[in-house]
Amino acid sequence: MSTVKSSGRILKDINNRAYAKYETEYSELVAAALEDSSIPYFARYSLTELSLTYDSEYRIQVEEIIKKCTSGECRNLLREIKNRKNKSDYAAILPEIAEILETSVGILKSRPAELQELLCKTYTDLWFCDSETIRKRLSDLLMTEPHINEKVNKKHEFER
Amino acid sequence: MISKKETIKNAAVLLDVSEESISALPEENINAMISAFENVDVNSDGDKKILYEAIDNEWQKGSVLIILKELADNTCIAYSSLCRLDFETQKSVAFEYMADSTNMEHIYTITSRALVLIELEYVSNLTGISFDELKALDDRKKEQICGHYSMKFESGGTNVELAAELKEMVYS
Repeated sequence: MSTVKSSGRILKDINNRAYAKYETEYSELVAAALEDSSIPYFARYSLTELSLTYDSEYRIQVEEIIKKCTSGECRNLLREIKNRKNKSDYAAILPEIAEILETSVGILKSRPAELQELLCKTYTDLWFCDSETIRKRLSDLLMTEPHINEKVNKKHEFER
Repeated sequence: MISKKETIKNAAVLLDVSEESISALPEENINAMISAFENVDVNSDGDKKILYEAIDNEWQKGSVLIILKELADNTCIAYSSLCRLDFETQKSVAFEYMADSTNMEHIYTITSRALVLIELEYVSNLTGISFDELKALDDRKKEQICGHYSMKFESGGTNVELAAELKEMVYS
Protein backbone atom coordinates (compact mmCIF):
# COMPACT_ATOMS: atom_id res chain seq x y z
CA MET A 1 0.00 0.00 0.00
CA SER A 2 1.56 3.30 -1.07
CA THR A 3 0.69 6.95 -0.58
CA VAL A 4 1.06 9.61 -3.25
CA LYS A 5 1.86 13.23 -2.47
CA SER A 6 2.90 16.09 -4.70
CA SER A 7 3.48 19.83 -4.68
CA GLY A 8 0.10 20.31 -6.29
CA ARG A 9 1.19 19.52 -9.82
CA ILE A 10 1.25 16.33 -11.84
CA LEU A 11 4.56 14.62 -12.52
CA LYS A 12 4.81 15.68 -16.14
CA ASP A 13 4.53 19.36 -15.17
CA ILE A 14 7.73 19.14 -13.11
CA ASN A 15 10.66 20.62 -15.06
CA ASN A 16 14.08 18.94 -15.28
CA ARG A 17 12.76 15.78 -13.63
CA ALA A 18 15.20 13.86 -11.43
CA TYR A 19 14.29 10.50 -9.90
CA ALA A 20 15.57 9.00 -6.66
CA LYS A 21 14.70 6.17 -4.32
CA TYR A 22 15.35 6.07 -0.57
CA GLU A 23 14.79 3.65 2.25
CA THR A 24 13.31 5.77 5.01
CA GLU A 25 10.52 5.74 7.54
CA TYR A 26 10.29 9.55 7.35
CA SER A 27 8.82 9.92 3.85
CA GLU A 28 5.96 12.01 5.15
CA LEU A 29 8.42 14.38 6.80
CA VAL A 30 10.44 14.66 3.56
CA ALA A 31 7.24 15.49 1.65
CA ALA A 32 6.28 18.13 4.22
CA ALA A 33 9.77 19.69 4.07
CA LEU A 34 9.69 19.79 0.24
CA GLU A 35 6.27 21.42 0.44
CA ASP A 36 7.44 24.03 2.97
CA SER A 37 10.53 24.73 0.88
CA SER A 38 8.35 25.26 -2.25
CA ILE A 39 10.19 22.56 -4.21
CA PRO A 40 8.22 20.99 -7.08
CA TYR A 41 7.99 17.24 -6.35
CA PHE A 42 5.97 14.08 -6.77
CA ALA A 43 6.38 11.31 -4.19
CA ARG A 44 5.06 7.79 -3.83
CA TYR A 45 5.89 6.13 -0.56
CA SER A 46 5.25 3.21 1.77
CA LEU A 47 6.16 2.88 5.44
CA THR A 48 9.78 2.11 4.58
CA GLU A 49 10.44 3.39 1.05
CA LEU A 50 10.22 6.66 -0.85
CA SER A 51 10.20 7.13 -4.62
CA LEU A 52 10.82 10.76 -5.36
CA THR A 53 10.62 12.82 -8.54
CA TYR A 54 11.68 16.46 -8.24
CA ASP A 55 12.92 19.45 -10.22
CA SER A 56 16.69 18.91 -10.43
CA GLU A 57 17.23 22.69 -10.24
CA TYR A 58 16.59 22.17 -6.51
CA ARG A 59 19.08 19.27 -6.16
CA ILE A 60 21.15 20.87 -3.39
CA GLN A 61 18.08 21.72 -1.31
CA VAL A 62 16.61 18.23 -1.82
CA GLU A 63 19.91 16.60 -0.82
CA GLU A 64 19.98 18.70 2.35
CA ILE A 65 16.40 17.79 3.25
CA ILE A 66 16.97 14.08 2.60
CA LYS A 67 20.16 14.14 4.66
CA LYS A 68 18.36 15.75 7.59
CA CYS A 69 15.34 13.48 7.42
CA THR A 70 17.26 10.24 7.01
CA SER A 71 19.96 10.92 9.61
CA GLY A 72 19.89 9.39 13.09
CA GLU A 73 19.74 12.97 14.34
CA CYS A 74 16.20 13.18 12.99
CA ARG A 75 14.74 10.70 15.49
CA ASN A 76 16.45 12.52 18.40
CA LEU A 77 15.23 15.88 17.22
CA LEU A 78 11.65 14.68 16.83
CA ARG A 79 11.76 13.37 20.39
CA GLU A 80 13.26 16.65 21.62
CA ILE A 81 10.60 18.75 19.88
CA LYS A 82 7.84 16.56 21.29
CA ASN A 83 9.25 17.08 24.78
CA ARG A 84 9.29 20.86 24.46
CA LYS A 85 6.13 21.96 26.15
CA ASN A 86 6.73 25.40 27.57
CA LYS A 87 8.31 28.75 26.73
CA SER A 88 11.56 28.17 28.62
CA ASP A 89 12.14 24.97 26.63
CA TYR A 90 11.69 26.90 23.42
CA ALA A 91 14.04 29.64 24.59
CA ALA A 92 16.86 27.11 24.72
CA ILE A 93 17.06 27.19 20.93
CA LEU A 94 17.36 30.98 20.63
CA PRO A 95 21.18 30.72 20.21
CA GLU A 96 20.70 28.46 17.16
CA ILE A 97 18.20 30.92 15.71
CA ALA A 98 20.51 33.86 16.40
CA GLU A 99 23.26 32.08 14.49
CA ILE A 100 21.01 31.44 11.50
CA LEU A 101 19.84 35.07 11.45
CA GLU A 102 23.42 36.31 11.89
CA THR A 103 22.47 38.26 14.99
CA SER A 104 23.07 37.97 18.73
CA VAL A 105 20.98 36.19 21.35
CA GLY A 106 20.78 39.51 23.21
CA ILE A 107 19.12 41.22 20.26
CA LEU A 108 16.59 38.42 19.92
CA LYS A 109 15.87 38.51 23.64
CA SER A 110 15.15 42.23 23.36
CA ARG A 111 12.26 41.45 21.00
CA PRO A 112 8.75 40.77 22.39
CA ALA A 113 8.34 37.42 24.18
CA GLU A 114 5.49 36.56 21.82
CA LEU A 115 7.78 37.03 18.82
CA GLN A 116 10.61 35.03 20.42
CA GLU A 117 8.23 32.17 21.02
CA LEU A 118 6.94 32.39 17.46
CA LEU A 119 10.50 32.30 16.10
CA CYS A 120 11.33 29.21 18.16
CA LYS A 121 8.08 27.47 17.23
CA THR A 122 8.63 28.23 13.53
CA TYR A 123 12.21 27.00 13.71
CA THR A 124 11.21 23.66 15.21
CA ASP A 125 8.42 23.32 12.62
CA LEU A 126 10.80 24.05 9.75
CA TRP A 127 13.93 22.30 10.99
CA PHE A 128 13.65 19.69 8.23
CA CYS A 129 13.61 22.26 5.41
CA ASP A 130 16.71 23.51 3.61
CA SER A 131 18.82 26.23 5.32
CA GLU A 132 17.83 29.00 2.92
CA THR A 133 14.10 28.41 3.48
CA ILE A 134 14.58 28.41 7.27
CA ARG A 135 16.63 31.61 7.15
CA LYS A 136 14.13 33.33 4.90
CA ARG A 137 11.06 32.35 6.92
CA LEU A 138 12.65 33.42 10.21
CA SER A 139 13.79 36.73 8.71
CA ASP A 140 10.30 37.29 7.31
CA LEU A 141 8.84 36.76 10.77
CA LEU A 142 11.13 39.39 12.22
CA MET A 143 10.17 41.85 9.50
CA THR A 144 6.46 41.16 9.22
CA GLU A 145 5.11 41.01 12.71
CA PRO A 146 3.79 44.55 12.88
CA HIS A 147 1.08 43.79 15.42
CA ILE A 148 3.66 42.43 17.84
CA ASN A 149 6.16 45.21 17.17
CA GLU A 150 3.38 47.81 17.45
CA LYS A 151 2.30 46.41 20.81
CA VAL A 152 5.87 46.58 22.10
CA ASN A 153 6.38 50.14 20.87
CA LYS A 154 3.19 51.23 22.62
CA LYS A 155 4.35 49.50 25.80
CA HIS A 156 7.69 51.30 25.59
CA GLU A 157 5.97 54.65 25.02
CA PHE A 158 3.75 54.02 28.02
CA GLU A 159 6.73 53.10 30.21
CA ARG A 160 8.53 56.27 29.17
CA MET B 1 6.50 -0.94 -5.02
CA ILE B 2 8.60 -2.53 -7.82
CA SER B 3 11.51 -4.89 -7.17
CA LYS B 4 15.05 -4.33 -8.45
CA LYS B 5 14.91 -7.53 -10.51
CA GLU B 6 11.65 -6.49 -12.17
CA THR B 7 13.07 -3.02 -12.88
CA ILE B 8 16.21 -4.41 -14.55
CA LYS B 9 14.06 -6.66 -16.74
CA ASN B 10 11.62 -3.89 -17.70
CA ALA B 11 14.40 -1.36 -18.37
CA ALA B 12 16.23 -3.83 -20.61
CA VAL B 13 13.07 -4.42 -22.65
CA LEU B 14 12.27 -0.71 -22.85
CA LEU B 15 15.79 0.27 -24.02
CA ASP B 16 16.33 -2.88 -26.05
CA VAL B 17 19.62 -3.65 -24.30
CA SER B 18 20.78 -6.65 -22.29
CA GLU B 19 19.77 -7.14 -18.66
CA GLU B 20 23.49 -7.47 -17.83
CA SER B 21 24.19 -3.95 -19.06
CA ILE B 22 21.49 -2.61 -16.74
CA SER B 23 22.67 -4.73 -13.77
CA ALA B 24 26.19 -3.34 -14.22
CA LEU B 25 25.02 0.26 -13.66
CA PRO B 26 25.76 1.99 -10.33
CA GLU B 27 23.16 1.38 -7.61
CA GLU B 28 22.08 5.04 -7.67
CA ASN B 29 21.01 4.82 -11.32
CA ILE B 30 19.14 1.54 -10.84
CA ASN B 31 17.35 3.07 -7.85
CA ALA B 32 16.40 6.09 -9.95
CA MET B 33 14.99 3.69 -12.57
CA ILE B 34 12.91 1.97 -9.88
CA SER B 35 11.63 5.39 -8.82
CA ALA B 36 10.71 6.28 -12.42
CA PHE B 37 8.81 3.00 -12.92
CA GLU B 38 6.98 3.58 -9.64
CA ASN B 39 6.14 7.24 -10.18
CA VAL B 40 5.29 7.44 -13.88
CA ASP B 41 1.79 6.09 -14.56
CA VAL B 42 1.72 5.13 -18.22
CA ASN B 43 -1.70 6.07 -19.59
CA SER B 44 -0.74 7.75 -22.85
CA ASP B 45 2.02 8.06 -25.44
CA GLY B 46 3.19 11.18 -23.63
CA ASP B 47 3.62 9.16 -20.41
CA LYS B 48 5.47 6.44 -22.35
CA LYS B 49 7.87 9.11 -23.64
CA ILE B 50 8.44 10.48 -20.13
CA LEU B 51 9.21 6.99 -18.81
CA TYR B 52 11.50 6.15 -21.74
CA GLU B 53 13.42 9.41 -21.30
CA ALA B 54 13.81 8.81 -17.56
CA ILE B 55 15.13 5.25 -18.01
CA ASP B 56 17.35 6.17 -20.97
CA ASN B 57 18.74 9.14 -19.06
CA GLU B 58 19.70 6.95 -16.09
CA TRP B 59 21.21 4.36 -18.44
CA GLN B 60 23.36 7.03 -20.09
CA LYS B 61 24.38 8.53 -16.76
CA GLY B 62 25.24 5.11 -15.34
CA SER B 63 27.19 4.08 -18.44
CA VAL B 64 29.29 7.26 -18.25
CA LEU B 65 29.93 6.62 -14.54
CA ILE B 66 31.25 3.14 -15.37
CA ILE B 67 33.86 4.74 -17.68
CA LEU B 68 34.68 7.37 -15.04
CA LYS B 69 35.22 4.62 -12.46
CA GLU B 70 37.75 3.03 -14.78
CA LEU B 71 39.41 6.42 -15.28
CA ALA B 72 39.61 6.96 -11.50
CA ASP B 73 41.07 3.48 -10.98
CA ASN B 74 43.81 4.21 -13.52
CA THR B 75 44.64 7.78 -12.48
CA CYS B 76 44.85 9.80 -9.28
CA ILE B 77 41.54 11.66 -9.87
CA ALA B 78 39.11 10.64 -7.13
CA TYR B 79 35.94 8.90 -8.32
CA SER B 80 33.93 10.95 -5.81
CA SER B 81 35.15 14.16 -7.51
CA LEU B 82 34.19 12.84 -10.94
CA CYS B 83 30.74 11.91 -9.62
CA ARG B 84 30.19 15.51 -8.55
CA LEU B 85 30.69 16.89 -12.08
CA ASP B 86 27.62 17.87 -14.08
CA PHE B 87 26.55 15.29 -16.65
CA GLU B 88 27.76 17.25 -19.69
CA THR B 89 31.27 17.51 -18.20
CA GLN B 90 31.19 13.85 -17.17
CA LYS B 91 30.37 12.97 -20.79
CA SER B 92 33.24 15.15 -22.09
CA VAL B 93 35.73 13.63 -19.65
CA ALA B 94 34.57 10.09 -20.46
CA PHE B 95 34.81 10.86 -24.19
CA GLU B 96 38.32 12.30 -23.86
CA TYR B 97 39.41 9.32 -21.82
CA MET B 98 37.99 6.82 -24.30
CA ALA B 99 39.62 8.70 -27.19
CA ASP B 100 43.06 8.94 -25.58
CA SER B 101 43.56 7.65 -22.06
CA THR B 102 47.10 9.10 -21.96
CA ASN B 103 46.01 12.72 -22.42
CA MET B 104 45.69 13.33 -18.69
CA GLU B 105 46.63 17.02 -18.73
CA HIS B 106 43.56 17.88 -20.78
CA ILE B 107 41.32 15.68 -18.62
CA TYR B 108 42.67 17.35 -15.43
CA THR B 109 41.97 20.82 -16.87
CA ILE B 110 38.36 20.02 -17.78
CA THR B 111 37.77 18.35 -14.41
CA SER B 112 39.25 21.06 -12.19
CA ARG B 113 37.43 23.88 -14.02
CA ALA B 114 34.12 22.07 -13.64
CA LEU B 115 34.75 21.29 -9.96
CA VAL B 116 35.20 25.00 -9.23
CA LEU B 117 31.81 25.69 -10.79
CA ILE B 118 30.17 22.97 -8.69
CA GLU B 119 31.53 24.45 -5.48
CA LEU B 120 30.21 27.81 -6.65
CA GLU B 121 26.71 26.36 -6.73
CA TYR B 122 27.07 25.39 -3.07
CA VAL B 123 28.57 28.81 -2.25
CA SER B 124 25.61 30.45 -3.97
CA ASN B 125 23.20 28.37 -1.92
CA LEU B 126 24.96 29.15 1.36
CA THR B 127 25.43 32.89 0.81
CA GLY B 128 22.30 33.73 -1.15
CA ILE B 129 24.48 35.38 -3.85
CA SER B 130 23.25 34.38 -7.31
CA PHE B 131 25.20 31.71 -9.19
CA ASP B 132 25.53 33.99 -12.22
CA GLU B 133 27.09 36.73 -10.10
CA LEU B 134 29.62 34.25 -8.67
CA LYS B 135 30.33 32.78 -12.09
CA ALA B 136 31.20 36.24 -13.42
CA LEU B 137 34.06 36.67 -10.90
CA ASP B 138 37.62 36.22 -12.17
CA ASP B 139 39.05 32.70 -12.11
CA ARG B 140 41.58 33.40 -9.35
CA LYS B 141 38.89 34.75 -7.03
CA LYS B 142 36.58 31.83 -7.82
CA GLU B 143 39.36 29.39 -6.90
CA GLN B 144 40.03 31.20 -3.60
CA ILE B 145 36.34 31.27 -2.70
CA CYS B 146 35.81 27.61 -3.54
CA GLY B 147 38.98 26.58 -1.72
CA HIS B 148 37.84 28.46 1.39
CA TYR B 149 34.41 26.84 1.14
CA SER B 150 35.86 23.33 0.77
CA MET B 151 38.18 23.76 3.74
CA LYS B 152 35.76 25.37 6.16
CA PHE B 153 32.34 23.93 5.34
CA GLU B 154 30.97 21.86 8.22
CA SER B 155 28.45 19.24 7.22
CA GLY B 156 25.46 19.45 9.57
CA GLY B 157 26.47 22.90 10.88
CA THR B 158 24.74 26.20 10.11
CA ASN B 159 27.98 27.59 8.58
CA VAL B 160 26.81 31.13 9.24
CA GLU B 161 30.33 32.44 9.89
CA LEU B 162 31.55 30.81 6.71
CA ALA B 163 28.71 32.44 4.76
CA ALA B 164 29.74 35.86 6.09
CA GLU B 165 33.41 35.22 5.23
CA LEU B 166 32.52 34.13 1.71
CA LYS B 167 30.35 37.20 1.17
CA GLU B 168 33.27 39.37 2.25
CA MET B 169 35.56 37.57 -0.17
CA VAL B 170 33.09 38.05 -3.03
CA TYR B 171 32.60 41.76 -2.44
CA SER B 172 36.19 42.69 -1.44
